[in-house]
Amino acid sequence: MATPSPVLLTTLTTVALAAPTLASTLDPAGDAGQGAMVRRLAVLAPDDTFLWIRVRRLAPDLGRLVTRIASWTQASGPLAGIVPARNLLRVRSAIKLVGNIERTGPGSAIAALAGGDFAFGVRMSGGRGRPFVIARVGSDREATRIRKLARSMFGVVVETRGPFLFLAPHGETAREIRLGLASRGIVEPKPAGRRILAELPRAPIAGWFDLHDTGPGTRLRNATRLANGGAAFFAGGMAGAIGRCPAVMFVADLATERIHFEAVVAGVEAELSPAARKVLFLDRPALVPLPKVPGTVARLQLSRSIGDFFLERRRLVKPRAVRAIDRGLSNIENLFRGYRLETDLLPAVKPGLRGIVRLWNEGDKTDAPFRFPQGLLNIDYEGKSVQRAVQTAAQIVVLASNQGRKRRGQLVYRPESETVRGYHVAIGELARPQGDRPWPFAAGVRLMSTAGKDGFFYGTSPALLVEVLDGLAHTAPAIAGGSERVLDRIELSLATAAKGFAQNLDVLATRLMLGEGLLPSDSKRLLTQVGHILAASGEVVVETALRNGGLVASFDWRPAPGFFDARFATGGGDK
Amino acid sequence: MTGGWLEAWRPGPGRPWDIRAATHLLRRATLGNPRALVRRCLELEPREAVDELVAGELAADNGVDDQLAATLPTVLASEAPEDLAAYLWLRMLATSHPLRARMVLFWHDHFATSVQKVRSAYWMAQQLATFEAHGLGSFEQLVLEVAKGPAMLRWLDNDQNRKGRANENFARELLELFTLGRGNYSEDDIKQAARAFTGWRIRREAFYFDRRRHDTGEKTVFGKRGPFTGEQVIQMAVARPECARFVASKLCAVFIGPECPGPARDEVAELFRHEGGRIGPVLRTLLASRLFFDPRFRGTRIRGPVEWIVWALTSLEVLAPPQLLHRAAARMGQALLAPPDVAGWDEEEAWISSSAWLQRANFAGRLGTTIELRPALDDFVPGRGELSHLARRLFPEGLGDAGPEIARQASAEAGLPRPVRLNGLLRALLMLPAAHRF
Repeated sequence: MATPSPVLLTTLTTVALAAPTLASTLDPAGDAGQGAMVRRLAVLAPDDTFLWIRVRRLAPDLGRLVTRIASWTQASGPLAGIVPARNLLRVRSAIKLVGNIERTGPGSAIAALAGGDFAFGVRMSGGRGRPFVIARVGSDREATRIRKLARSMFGVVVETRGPFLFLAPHGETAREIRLGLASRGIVEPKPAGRRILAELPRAPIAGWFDLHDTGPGTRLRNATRLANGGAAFFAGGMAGAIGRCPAVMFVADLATERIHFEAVVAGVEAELSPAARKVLFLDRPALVPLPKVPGTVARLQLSRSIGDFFLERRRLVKPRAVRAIDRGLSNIENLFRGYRLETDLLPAVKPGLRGIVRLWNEGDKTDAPFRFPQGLLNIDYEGKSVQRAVQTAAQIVVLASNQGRKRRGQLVYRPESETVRGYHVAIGELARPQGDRPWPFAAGVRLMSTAGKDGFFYGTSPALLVEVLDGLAHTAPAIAGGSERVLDRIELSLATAAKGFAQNLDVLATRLMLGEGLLPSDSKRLLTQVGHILAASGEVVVETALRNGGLVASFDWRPAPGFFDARFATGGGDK
Repeated sequence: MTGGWLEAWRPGPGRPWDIRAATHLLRRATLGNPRALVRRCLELEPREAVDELVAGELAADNGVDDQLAATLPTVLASEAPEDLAAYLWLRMLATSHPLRARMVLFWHDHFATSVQKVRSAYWMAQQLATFEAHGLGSFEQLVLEVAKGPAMLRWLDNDQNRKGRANENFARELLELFTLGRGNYSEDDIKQAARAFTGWRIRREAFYFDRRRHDTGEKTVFGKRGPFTGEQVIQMAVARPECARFVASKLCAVFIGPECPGPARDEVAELFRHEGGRIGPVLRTLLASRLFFDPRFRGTRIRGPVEWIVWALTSLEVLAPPQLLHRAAARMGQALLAPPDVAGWDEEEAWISSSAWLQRANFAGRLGTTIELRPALDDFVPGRGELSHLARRLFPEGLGDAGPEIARQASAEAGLPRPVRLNGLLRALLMLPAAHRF
């Protein structure tokens, strides 16, 4: 039988059963609130679902939470389990409680809830909830002692795996728990994972990570101090709210092959300071992503008002950071000859940043042997003066880059220009190497910059600019109003990225060879395997959005059909 | 023509062709002593082993050299000298022609050229390719090719050498450091030779002879007069007996050690002349000679950082991240592609400064966690102990007096987790005095 990874279990033992909006759930809201809770759990906890609860440093509200859970489990099935313990190493009482639950029902256990730190949960099966406990034991000797103790108790099955102890009133449940944990699979050896997958019922596994339950002084708790506009700019709206986020929902559904995380924090929008609101430009229409083009690997959208962040920096970040930013701005100002950043430029740089990466466009003509993905970055601004300033700055950047390249004995960019859909595009293209000198990587890109009505564009392919501009011409420029507003979004097509991976296998293999000391053949073999995994990995979307005044951060992964089978169910036999 | 020191070594009573002799040959000629090569050597007579070594046939050709060579354009595409250095490390570690790789390192020190001034990884790669192509061939051809390489042209400012404004840098080092040695030429020889090299330039990433810049006038070099060209000056320098003595002394310093007797060096110089300056045949005789196998000269050299690391890894038959090796060796005082000056690295005792020793200890203490030790332990027999297993890889001839101390340490650390234990053992073995001498 497979042994669950301690790492995995450490993660899982932090899973807590709590609704995404815990605070409201815990309010003694009577039948209506309880009904909502039950409905939510019923949706997320069908048969063969595992729900974990982590009990540690019990919050005052946990008693009420427990009451709710107990009510729900009694309503939806004959049994659910709540098991307390003072700490991880003291599991004797946990064993007793599991026994008590089986004999007397959950009510008797609730009184014992006062503190502790271990995981307990419910496995739904046949309309019933079966309780179990996962606890960490201090040593083999202790595990043996506990096992002996458990054997002497009626109806409790105990098994140890590594440093973890599984307690359940039914042997079947203990086994299923382990299978459920192992189904995450990535830390399991292949043969074991394959066997587990074959035995595992294809059902969703759901849980909630309780972010309140991290104890004082921990990183997450410290994150509450980041609840300011500065953090909101750098790390997204989530950074400002994560410390107050009560819970994160997690759903893994092997049947539909979907992994979804979602965190919800209510009331964030109302709490944002005026400065932070400006940085997140909530008073303006939301950004729309750049249009998809053929071979799109990734699209990025960050809704931050760059100009407002710098202008409001004294309100948003600490004085020491302000001084560092001031120095940086002073340096940047040198690029914008004749313009003052604070008065001329920053007020005009308004919302957000958008980007797109796509595979090498086979239509692009080049003698260089590289087929690198092409990228385009777009920053919005207002005002013609900015247009001239940023174009000049972009050209200065290329010139400065050329100086550096020349000093290092590298080939330099040859400045060119083209007019594309009304945009005057400055292009830096590397001169062809002379003699037998190999093409440098820099020849794999055509640096380009331009500015126009859709903002400033900086990228590596004028052809991509054309396609994006054509797409934008047919896209509504912004989304106004509505109950949901996407702040940040990254879409990644791993399957498409795999094609880029294959196109550049030689380059990647050489980099791996130099970095890791692998022979070229070994590098290629390893990367080919990674490429196969990428190709099967489907799509990933990471998003933060304001929804009904609350902040929702989500991660959604939809691998290609058969992904999990391919990972665990193929290859040699059990050994 | 050989006699005395260079007569062929013949094993006999008291001087067996055994594991000690074979590891001595491999360590001096190839830096490492991997088991397969030790075994192969012992299957052959010493003379045959040396012949195969020089011909690049001692190790089975696993195709790795071709594989690595095929990646060079991509390595150079980053335009980063560090990547070329990492590539060079991989070549040294994985090659199936280890003597050639050893000679690339030898000539890199002899024609010491630094990328810090040359600034082009491509030009440095061209120079390394020259060492590889001609390092075992004609010395005259090697000097000519190196001199015309863009790396050397830029390194010693010969690309700035023009009629009426002769730049003497290259001519001076050609005579002092590359061919004749100090005291074997006059200042006037340098001035006149420099005129012969006028008009040498770089165009389209390669050597270009600019007639308009060349001084076609008469020059007097080594007492001869004529409108000499650069090529002719090189030919004249290499043909001088001082050049044979100079190259012989360099080869003896590396392959025999600092205690090589003067008469033996003279014999090697004579051999060099006799072989027409072809390095391979010289080495074929030298490495199979009584001089080479004389027990008095074994273990008399101190390993440089590159030699030490390559010995450790090739003997353990493992690879390690080459960029990391490059940085580690640089901290120990030997950054490939960046010798301290045109005279190359100071060697022998100069390698072991207090800070360099500390760096070696740090590296030895981390190596076990950096490299994948599994290949080195693939035939590990638990009952026989990890210590003896690793020790046999590094010191096939045995640990000698150090054995009991290392065994005590191994015993004391027996209770530690295996990775920690192996790392500790490796550190102890690599910091033995015997690990730094060869």
